[in-house]
Amino acid sequence: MAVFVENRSLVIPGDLIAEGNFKASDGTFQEQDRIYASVLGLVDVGPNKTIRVIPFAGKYMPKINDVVIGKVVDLRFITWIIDINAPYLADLHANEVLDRKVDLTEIDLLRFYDVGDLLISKVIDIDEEKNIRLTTKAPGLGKLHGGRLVKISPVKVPRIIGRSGSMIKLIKDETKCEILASSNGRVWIKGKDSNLENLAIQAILKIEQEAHTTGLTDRIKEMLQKERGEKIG
Amino acid sequence: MAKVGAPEKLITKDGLRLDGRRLDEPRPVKLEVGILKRADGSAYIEQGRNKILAAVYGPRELHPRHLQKPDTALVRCRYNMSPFSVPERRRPGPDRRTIEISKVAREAFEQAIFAEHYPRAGIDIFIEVLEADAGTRCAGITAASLALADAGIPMKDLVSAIAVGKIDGQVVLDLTGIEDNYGQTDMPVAMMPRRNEITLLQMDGHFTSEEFEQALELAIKGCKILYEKQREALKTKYGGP
Repeated sequence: MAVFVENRSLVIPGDLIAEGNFKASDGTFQEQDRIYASVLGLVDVGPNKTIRVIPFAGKYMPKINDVVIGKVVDLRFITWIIDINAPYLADLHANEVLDRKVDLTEIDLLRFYDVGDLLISKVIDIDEEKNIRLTTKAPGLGKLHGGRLVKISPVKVPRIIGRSGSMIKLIKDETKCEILASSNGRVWIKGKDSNLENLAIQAILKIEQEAHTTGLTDRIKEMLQKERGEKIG
Repeated sequence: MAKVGAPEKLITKDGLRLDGRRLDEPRPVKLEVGILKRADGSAYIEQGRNKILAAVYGPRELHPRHLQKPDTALVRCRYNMSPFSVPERRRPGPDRRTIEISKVAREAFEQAIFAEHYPRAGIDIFIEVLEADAGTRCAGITAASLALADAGIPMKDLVSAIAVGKIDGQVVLDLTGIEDNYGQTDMPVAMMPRRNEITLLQMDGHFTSEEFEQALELAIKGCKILYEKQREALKTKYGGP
């Protein structure tokens, strides 16, 4: 039983990572008892001998219970079609939106969610054909009003959030903005004025750019405080 | 470049080729990863006088929808030569040759990509030849494999490719345009170097079975040289060791 690469070292697809009694997780594949990298990224040997590769790039793949920011693209009878920045469109059935019966002859469902609206929703089911079902029937879910949307690479979202939310809290505190970072690579920002919003966006894009470097939290803090001093005085 | 007549000899008396290479020496290669901003993954290769861009998009929604496969992603590949890539202007658009290359290049990657992770989706690979001097399908595959890795698409291994051939009765690695035109045989080979699995093998010309064995061995050696360059290019982009 052996691990052939150092923790946090860079691997490319096909590299042998470990042999023996390990659990192959995201970004790896297993042949007999050997574990290989399947994507380009950094090796992470976690607790309980779980081996995964933290990817440098890649599309968002939805998982059950993910909270995602979606955009309404269509309404088909009683199902909204939502773009969640994945390789698949997601379905939001009226049952997962309304908590009472509505008479469709009287009420147009576009009244609730119109095409182009931004929604914060949760993934409740994915089948083997990757048909995705969403809900907005829980506290904190529903339509997003106003604000601005920043698109980043989905693999960089954990860095925006930081360890137990430290990075996003820092940005929120420094810019007094409401910020929602969802796992599909969309970040929604709403602030008191556009200068503060711009500053938050600037910080988020900087984190995305420098995601693989260390000591980033300190640099972001420094940048935010300096910029804020100049703009607001 | 003006058309030159057939050279008297492709291998000189001291055992070197017209461009000064040894028989088992590949052309100088330059690889760069992640050069197109709007593609999900991209790479550029210069191999001798070949200049080729590769771009990858996806996994993404596949259109037209009747092509969607319920259990796996569809890998599509387009190999294209620019009109200005060869000495005599080439008529733009696909022809018999480029359609065939697109197909065999796609099949070279289908072995490597974990397409079953993305049912119903599509993965699109584009190989654009900007300047051609023999061995473009191989160089294109080498570059596209880096573009796939850059896009974060899960694969069993990288794919490396190189051509071998016969000139003046001798088996040589990585033919140039002149060697291809006036030589006897051209055999492009693509493989997954870590796994020692061949994913593409074509042959134009004749080899005896001994020559074939020798040529295949040489191609495998060449692919492994390219594989090291591919590794280096990926590591350079992310500043790793």
